[in-house]
Amino acid sequence: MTERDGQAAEGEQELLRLYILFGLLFRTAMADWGQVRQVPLKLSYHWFFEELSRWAERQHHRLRRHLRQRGCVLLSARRERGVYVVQYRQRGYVREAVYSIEVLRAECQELARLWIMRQQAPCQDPGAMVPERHARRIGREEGEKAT
Amino acid sequence: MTKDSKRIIFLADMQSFYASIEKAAHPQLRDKPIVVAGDPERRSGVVLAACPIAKSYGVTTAEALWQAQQKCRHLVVVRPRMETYLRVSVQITRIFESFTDLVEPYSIDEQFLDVTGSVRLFGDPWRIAEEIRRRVRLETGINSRIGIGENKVLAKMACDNFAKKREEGIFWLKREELADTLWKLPIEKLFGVGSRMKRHFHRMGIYQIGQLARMSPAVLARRWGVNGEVLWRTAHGLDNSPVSLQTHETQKGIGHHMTLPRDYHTAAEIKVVLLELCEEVCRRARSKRLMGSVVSVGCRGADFDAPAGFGRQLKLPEPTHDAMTLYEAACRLFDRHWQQTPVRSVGVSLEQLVPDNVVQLNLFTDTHRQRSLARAMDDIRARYGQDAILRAVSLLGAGQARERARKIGGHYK
Repeated sequence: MTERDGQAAEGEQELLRLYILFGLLFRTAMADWGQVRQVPLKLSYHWFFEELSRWAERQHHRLRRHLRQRGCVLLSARRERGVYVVQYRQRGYVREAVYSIEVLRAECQELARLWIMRQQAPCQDPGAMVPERHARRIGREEGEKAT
Repeated sequence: MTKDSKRIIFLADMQSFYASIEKAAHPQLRDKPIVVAGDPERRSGVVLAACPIAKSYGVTTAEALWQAQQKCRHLVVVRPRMETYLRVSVQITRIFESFTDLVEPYSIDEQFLDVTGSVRLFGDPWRIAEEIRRRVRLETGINSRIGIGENKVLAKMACDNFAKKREEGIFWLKREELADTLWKLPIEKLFGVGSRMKRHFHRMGIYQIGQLARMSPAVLARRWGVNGEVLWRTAHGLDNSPVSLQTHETQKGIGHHMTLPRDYHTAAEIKVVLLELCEEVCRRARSKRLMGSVVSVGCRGADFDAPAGFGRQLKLPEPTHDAMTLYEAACRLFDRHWQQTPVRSVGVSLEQLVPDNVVQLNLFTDTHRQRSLARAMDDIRARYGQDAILRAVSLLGAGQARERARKIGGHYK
């Protein structure tokens, strides 16, 4: 593995983690909406769950596109006794990532919290919700592609 | 294999393991000083792990919780979750196993890896170490440090003495550079030297590891036998032990120890705990299909600086894993050696283990019935929990079995 390969792999692992987080978030938001709608409430929160889910799904697809461009494809994801096991193909090699479900849940909550904070500051681009260091990475790549 | 056939061993250590798991699972705690400790509601117990922020206030691992709270008024105390910590440890082992099949857990938060055969696939050792650290951080949220060496002791000392103090969290301790690195450190930094050994060395005028390394191994062997020679070899970074899963497979004894919530003053109270410990020891022996013929009992008082109590052992006529047989022997030892002093910690262990598939039959005891009963109790406990079936004495005030069923290794599950 060359140094350049190592750096690329590093970026892909971070993107993959975000891709998984957004994938979980958009599905969880809709699952939670399914739970909430069964409870008689005074107001409707449909918009909240739908917007959150829609935004997470957009990010999820954006990241999937970036990963594909870098030769990285998710093969399978399954839950196994407290961990979330993901198999992906990275430049021909099948690799595995083993995430703590607790940590994924905490990170999803953090993303949802960030989304709410951004909603409160509408002047900012709500699409730029990927944490800054990842946004920089994606931006850099898009720049590279354009040139 | 590298050209000079040297092995490449890693010791990966997780920073503030328990506290890091809690921080990763609770992002709201990330910027706060936290400790994982005993029982926060009872304000009892000791600090099991302190995060780096708490450590910056002077909080140290193993100190009493009330002392830690005095040092840092806004300290967040988290109750331990041992099952989760064990699960994360297994998860980390799985991450390591994607780099090499030679992974040896050394403790819950430290593991040895032999990556000698992995360098062609993953790159040089430094890059592998960086990759491992990154994966552990991304997948568990824990910061790890890695010591690299050509054997296990060098990797361990590289991690403890250098990697933990560096920003990059990695250090490669090379044998040919020991004079400029390890040998300049104080003697207590040598792996295997504790506070008592340090005092012995200071009395001999040895203050630095280099001084020990320059001594003749014969002098050390005369004074401490084989241990002296091992220390000399450690100072020179010599160790041939392999990274192997079988390292801890040969079991010499099975023991359980319990620190009591208060001083126990009467024999009746202490014997309740002894019986509970015997039950636990025999249950584990049965699960491993082993029996033991030497029983050891240890009792200690609350003041560890002024030691009171005893530790004695007894040879049984024949090997056993029957709780009542073990209990009778433990009581004999206890009655003989207990000096009526208050007891704060009790331990029972079974040694000289042999497989349990050969049993000496007895005309006067129905061994088969005893064994069937024990197996039935084990099955009930395995299926419904440790406290699903208890002896009646465990319901007395002195009994600890119910409380212990909620814990792993004395800490909450």
